[in-house]
Amino acid sequence: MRKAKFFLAVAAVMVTAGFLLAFGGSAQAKMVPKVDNFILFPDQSGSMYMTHGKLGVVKMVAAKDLMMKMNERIPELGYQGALDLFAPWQVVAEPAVYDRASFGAALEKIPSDQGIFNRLTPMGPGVSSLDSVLSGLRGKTAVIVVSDGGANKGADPVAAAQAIHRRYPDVCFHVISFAEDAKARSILKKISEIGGCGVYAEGTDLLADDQALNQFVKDVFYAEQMEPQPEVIVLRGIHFDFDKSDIKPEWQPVLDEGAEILKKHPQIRIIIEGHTDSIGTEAYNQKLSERRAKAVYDYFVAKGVEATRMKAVGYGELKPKADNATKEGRAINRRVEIKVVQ
Amino acid sequence: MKKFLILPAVLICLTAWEIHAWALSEQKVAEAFGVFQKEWMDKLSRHGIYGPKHMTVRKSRDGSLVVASYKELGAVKGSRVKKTDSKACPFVGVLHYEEIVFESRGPTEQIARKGPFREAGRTNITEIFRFADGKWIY
Repeated sequence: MRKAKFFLAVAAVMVTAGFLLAFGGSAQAKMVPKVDNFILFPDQSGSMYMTHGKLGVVKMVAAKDLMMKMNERIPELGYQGALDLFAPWQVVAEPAVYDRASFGAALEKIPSDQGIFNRLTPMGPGVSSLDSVLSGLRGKTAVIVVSDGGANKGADPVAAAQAIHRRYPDVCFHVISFAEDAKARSILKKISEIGGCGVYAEGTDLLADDQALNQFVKDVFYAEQMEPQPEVIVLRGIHFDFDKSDIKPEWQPVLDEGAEILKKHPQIRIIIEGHTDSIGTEAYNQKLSERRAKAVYDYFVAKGVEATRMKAVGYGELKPKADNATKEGRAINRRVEIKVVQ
Repeated sequence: MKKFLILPAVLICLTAWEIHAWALSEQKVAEAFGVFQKEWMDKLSRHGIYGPKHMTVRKSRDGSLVVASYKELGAVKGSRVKKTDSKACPFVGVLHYEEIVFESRGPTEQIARKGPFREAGRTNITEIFRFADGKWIY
């Protein structure tokens, strides 16, 4: 028993250390917005204030809960956000640069309880009303319809959405469906298919599965941009001693990082270029830069980068990156560059 | 039993303190890199061969036109700091930015140099720096 407790304690130390060390990771993907604007467009018709058969709660209550959860996940990437209800049409939040706290406050204003009777669903006219908001927006707009798909008054909502898309080709319709019958589901799916850019999701699925909700938000709002494939890699802090070309141990991490980048992109071929500042004769700088480029080439080969992918050349002082007349300019010019040639 | 618990408790505290100190140190180094990269981009902007003053001229591929071009320094696209196993260089910093090429074409050098210049391409530049003796080195 004592031994078991001892080993448990040691294991706890190791797990904790490993957990904390995991946060020492380096690169992260960058979030790039897919849209310039979005309109969250919930349905407030009578049917949305009826109880959902599967969820056992009023559909609008479930929808609000879902929209609040979604709001927690939408990254603040500078797009304009608006909140409008339909059936009947109501502006809750005018387009403004999306801010999670403000948008959350706007979502709170959606009534959780309204009358059911005599409140039909003019979904088509509601969709057409989007024109008043879209006319003031520029760029790509995501319209996120949150509805049970009931459309029992007015124009055909699919036709209305198609008309909006014809007028505003940069609009994508996304749908979060609380539909409970095939006809309603079909209407909502058709709306999400307009333009070939929309996403359709069942509200019940998004409520039950955080990953599904995260994916929905990602699909609508942003793309992840990984580090760009480099075209030129500049190795800095490689200060060869006078007339020397050997690699010092303190430079190895920089060279190792360069080698790692090359290994991550095995399809690229490179030229390793040695460059100098203008101090010294042109002929001397030319020879020196060739030796230094070769030193880096040899180091990369030793680190496992295929020799056939690389070539080493020296350019001496002939290709400055900065003005050699200044001390800072000369420092910028003293470098080894790796140029991707294909 | 208490004696058996003292050693792991001490180990946990020491490890947590060391990891915490290391994590703080990496944070400070990363913050320093944030400052350094701004200064570096400023140096490049001031001393780099950018702008119409440093225009170059060449023939087009088919030889029928003269192409005048110059580069501008673009935006920083990203950066990161990475811990290494080296005591002499405990961190490397990686900075990504763009260079933008502007070109103008004409039948003669004089006409090409006059413009108008249009963006002809962008080059992704990755610069790798080392951290030594408490500072970022270039």
